[in-house]
Amino acid sequence: MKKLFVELNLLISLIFLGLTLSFPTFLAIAAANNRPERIVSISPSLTEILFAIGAGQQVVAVDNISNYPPDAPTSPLSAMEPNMEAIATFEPDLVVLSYDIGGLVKGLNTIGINTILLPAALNFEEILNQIIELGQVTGNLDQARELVEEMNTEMTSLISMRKSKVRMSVYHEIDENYYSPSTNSFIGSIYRLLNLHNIADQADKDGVGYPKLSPEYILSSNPGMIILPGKTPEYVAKLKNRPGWSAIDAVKQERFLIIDPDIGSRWGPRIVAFAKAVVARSDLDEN
Amino acid sequence: MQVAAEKLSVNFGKKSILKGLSFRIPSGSFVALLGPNGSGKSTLLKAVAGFINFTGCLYVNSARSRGLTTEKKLFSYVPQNLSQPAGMTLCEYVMLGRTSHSNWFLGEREKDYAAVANALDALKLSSSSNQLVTTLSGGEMQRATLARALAQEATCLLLDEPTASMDFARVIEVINILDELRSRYKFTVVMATHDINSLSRYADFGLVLKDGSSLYSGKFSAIMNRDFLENLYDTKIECVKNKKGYPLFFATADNL
Amino acid sequence: MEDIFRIPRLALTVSFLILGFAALASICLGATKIPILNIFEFMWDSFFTSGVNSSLSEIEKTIIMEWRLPRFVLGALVGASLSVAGSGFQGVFRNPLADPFLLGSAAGAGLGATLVIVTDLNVSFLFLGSVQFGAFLGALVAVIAAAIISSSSGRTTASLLLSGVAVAAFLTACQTYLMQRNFVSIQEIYGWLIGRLLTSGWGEVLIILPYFVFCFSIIFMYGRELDLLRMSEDESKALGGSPLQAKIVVISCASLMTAVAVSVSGLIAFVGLVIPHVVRLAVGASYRIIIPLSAIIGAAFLSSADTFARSAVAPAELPIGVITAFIGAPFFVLILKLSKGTI
Repeated sequence: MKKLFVELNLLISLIFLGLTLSFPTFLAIAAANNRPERIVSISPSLTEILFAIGAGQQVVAVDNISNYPPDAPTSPLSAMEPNMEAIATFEPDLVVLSYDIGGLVKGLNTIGINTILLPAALNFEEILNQIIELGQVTGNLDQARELVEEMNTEMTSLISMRKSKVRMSVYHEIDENYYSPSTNSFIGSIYRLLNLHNIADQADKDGVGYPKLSPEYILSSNPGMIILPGKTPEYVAKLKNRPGWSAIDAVKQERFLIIDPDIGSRWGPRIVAFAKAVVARSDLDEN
Repeated sequence: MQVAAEKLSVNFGKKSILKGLSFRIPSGSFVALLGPNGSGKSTLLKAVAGFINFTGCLYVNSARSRGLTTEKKLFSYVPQNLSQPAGMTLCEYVMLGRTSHSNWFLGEREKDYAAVANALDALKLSSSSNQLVTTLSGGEMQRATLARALAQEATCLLLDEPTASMDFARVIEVINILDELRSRYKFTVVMATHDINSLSRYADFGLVLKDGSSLYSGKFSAIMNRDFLENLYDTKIECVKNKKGYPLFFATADNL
Repeated sequence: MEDIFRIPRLALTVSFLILGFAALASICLGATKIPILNIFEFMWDSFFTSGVNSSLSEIEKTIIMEWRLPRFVLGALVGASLSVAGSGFQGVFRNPLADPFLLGSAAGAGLGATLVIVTDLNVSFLFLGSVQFGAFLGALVAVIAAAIISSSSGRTTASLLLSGVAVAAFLTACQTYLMQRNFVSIQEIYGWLIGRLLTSGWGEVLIILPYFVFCFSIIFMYGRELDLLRMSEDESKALGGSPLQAKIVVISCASLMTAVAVSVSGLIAFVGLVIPHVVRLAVGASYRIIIPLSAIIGAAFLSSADTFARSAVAPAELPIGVITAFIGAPFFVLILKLSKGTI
């Protein structure tokens, strides 16, 4: 009963979220009236947000992993090991990043380049916050609000669709080491919103977000659906052959969801597409 | 065991260490291998043992040989610095001598243990058989190597300056034991040494090297004279005789 | 005189008892709570009677027979392999700090295996599969490189150790680079570097078992040669040993063992160093005793470490390399301290 209440609460707060837009979050360094025209993004997730809120025209360079949308100006800039000098050669007036590695923010600010640091979101709400924030900073607030509202609506309908359904258990497999995202990670938080029981939650007592599961625990918790980001059919065949796994409901009913690993690991607008895919798969045989 | 050589040479790269040595050591001799530092004594021992390559001919018991190891001859080699492996007991140490006698798969049998026990007994080491070799004194360690040679049933002993780091009394004790064993078990002893005086009562064959060449090989008594030794070591030497008439030699500083 | 090279009965009994307890623990403990009595009953039934009237569910049976049991055996084999390889290396290098991890042979095996996987080479050789052969060559090259570098700088313990560390660091860097270039997930790289036991069923066990049996038998037979090598090389020859042959054979077998173990477990540190030392301290320094006992104790140690890794934070797991290093690293320091002056 308490859980239901928490979720209801979440739902309501989500609905109001798009309307109120009053988050005292990160302080943008760029002044609102001073619209940046040369943005460099070294975060694949933030690149996706920038383009979705219509700031694409202002972006001059994105890092080497930012592959979506396809027309993003990919450059050799490293997202993992960002190099200040390499970034500066693009003469940006705003650098958008998610990890402040090696004092990057301070360094860029010293040479007069504005930065906005938006670390990995932990849940849907934070994604929306970041969208609004990027909207404000880049001068695309209206489109950002539109996007947030749209995402919110879709998510709300997905949530209400799932609400009445059986609470199916899911297992999200990253690889054979059995690390799996729990509710303390943003991908896991989506399962929570969709009224799915994520088996990784029980193993994440310390709240690290990606616990390593015991294989026999996966077996005995009998997930009804297995999410496999970017896996091949051969991988699935091998998975089915693991001893005893033929007894798992998900394997019996072939309820696997193979998703684009980028969608499943970025906190951008496409998270809604991910949620949609999850809902579609989980609704397959349920009526 | 009889050992002979004809034009035996050893080269390390361009440097020639032994230059065409020829000698003939009768079986059962106590050979004093003499020569100043760097004259090639250790190298000769290693060549005879078969640890290093040489040119020329080596004969063991009149048969052509590439060194004692290659024919699996039973011989014992005692290096200048004795190895005292940590954690090894005296009994295990002596048992290593049985390696070529015992079976690869079955390991040691009754007779191997008997041989080790006899060897330890012969060198009066039975009481310390379970002691670690690292705890043995220098003299005991030398006796341990001799016990190992006995257990091995070696017919030839190659010793590289065994007495170099021993006190007076120990030197005589070890050489005495060595000589006793030699006459009891009839093996050939080749001992590289600088200690002419201690050897004079025991050695019967002299092999003298200088700068890699053989200066003399033959009866030991023949080299026990001042002129020969002065020439060998390039120094003034004084000679005194003890009560029994054995000559004793000392280097003097007169030429400095 | 009693037989001085026979493994002391007491030590052997105790070792097997420890291994037995490790086996029991690994079968009884885990993320799923299964009553121990029911497990015993089931094990008894499946080994001694054909009756299948067990009170366990199918899933529970599968967990025991296809997950816990093979994982115990795999852990035991990897532990035994690394320990025996470690004692072999220690014997050949006459160096108590030699071990597959510190000599770089584990890292070399990893690089070799990764190269084969990444380039999709087919280099199977005799009875060796491509991956094992690649891992074997890598391990061998690493050990030889470490030995050559150290001999050119004085053949001391410190120089062997430092060159091993340098070789290992270099090879691990190559390996990580290769894995990153080929978009292997960070978790996979991390899992590999820290060591983990991956099994599902008996597949991995069947890969490693024949290599273990083969290499163990050979190294065990060379125990006597390794004892001779505790003397100088010349003395060993004079005593009837063949040090060069022994070195080649033992290094090859130890490398092969390491390679196969590493190809299923990643870099599990310190087992090969710690276990032979424990055995040496407890029962003596002859390799004819160290090698077989290291195998048993190594098996017990790694499988227990794995049981702990599986059950301490269940249903989550700890990477096993973390546990072995957690125990091994302080032990390593202790050895350094105890053997002050002698190595």
